[in-house]
Amino acid sequence: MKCACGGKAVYTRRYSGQIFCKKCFNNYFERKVHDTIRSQKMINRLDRVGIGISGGKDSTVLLSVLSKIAGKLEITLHPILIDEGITGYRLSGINAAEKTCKSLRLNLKMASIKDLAGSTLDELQELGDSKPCTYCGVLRRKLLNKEANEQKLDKLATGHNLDDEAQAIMMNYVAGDINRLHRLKGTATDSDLIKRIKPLNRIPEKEIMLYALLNKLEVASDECPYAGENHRTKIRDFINTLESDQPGVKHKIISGWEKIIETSTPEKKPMHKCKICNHPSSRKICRSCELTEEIKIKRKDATKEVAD
Amino acid sequence: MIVFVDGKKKDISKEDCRVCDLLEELGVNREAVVTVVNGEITVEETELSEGDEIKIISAVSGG
Ligand code: SF4
Ligand SMILES: [Zn+2]
Ligand SMILES: [Zn+2]
Repeated sequence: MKCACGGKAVYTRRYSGQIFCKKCFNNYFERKVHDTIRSQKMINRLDRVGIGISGGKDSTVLLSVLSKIAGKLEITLHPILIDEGITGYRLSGINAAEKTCKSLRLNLKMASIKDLAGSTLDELQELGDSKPCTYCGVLRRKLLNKEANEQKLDKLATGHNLDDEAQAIMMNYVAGDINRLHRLKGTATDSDLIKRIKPLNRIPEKEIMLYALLNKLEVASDECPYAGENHRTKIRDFINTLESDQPGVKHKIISGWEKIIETSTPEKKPMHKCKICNHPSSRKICRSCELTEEIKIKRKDATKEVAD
Repeated sequence: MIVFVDGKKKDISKEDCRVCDLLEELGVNREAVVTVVNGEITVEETELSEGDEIKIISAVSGG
């Protein structure tokens, strides 16, 4: 099988019937990211764009493609890595991210959950009552907002891909959560200080992996020890089964969702300033401060027990 | 025909077997992987030959 240009085929895009060689695939991929940014009006000229990176394939691909088109878009890139403090997992991601940033001559800024909450994620999940992914998600978001604020960034880009979006949509359908369905659009929620953008949100995960492999990007592939089987992985497998039977289903999930959010309105929650950190929040005390405070108490109790 | 999948020997009974047939037989969803045959990334319609070495790389992430 050959690409239309005569080159050796590396990919069949079943939902459009096209066959690509490496060169044509790279061209298509980079143009697709550029088109997504333009059509969803994600970035303005002269924006300072933060990028949340983990060293995994999605954020590494995002960073390398954005660095290729940053000149054309007239933007600057500011990678940020959040160190959750997960033994046996985070280090390989940090190494990969450092190498990528060095090769692109970008300055990598790191921030850690330990600095924010006083404990690493490993310690938090031992001490606290919530699930590790709850601490991780809430505190990571908080840290990214904080960094974006300190670095005076205009946008914050994340590596969410088409599969992530389709999965989130299906999960929110199941829960009937209209507000979250709206929030997926990535416009700044009132509690974020910065507009979030997802330039890979129209590209399937498989194509992202292919781009990383074809271009030999430095990618960490370790799985987080807390990931495990969950509701999301089941939805993921279900959508992939649909897609292999009927190529194009993932894109249809997205276009169906776009129609639905057009005809519905999200609930407007009154906004407060968190009494502890002063950041905007729909609660009197924001979720991040609530978790951090809870941990402080647990930590005190634990030291007392040891002393007794 | 004998091929090697991620280093393990696999006997395929079928005469003509494409990468996608092999994935199906292994119960692997082609949407969730990238396949490498004899060191090169290839389309899943590629016909396999005796002794081919196939690597299946997962494209999906858990975290
Ligand atoms: S799976 Fe690991 S990295 Fe992902 S949210 Fe949970 S704890 Fe964080
Ligand atoms: Zn080509
Ligand atoms: Zn707060």
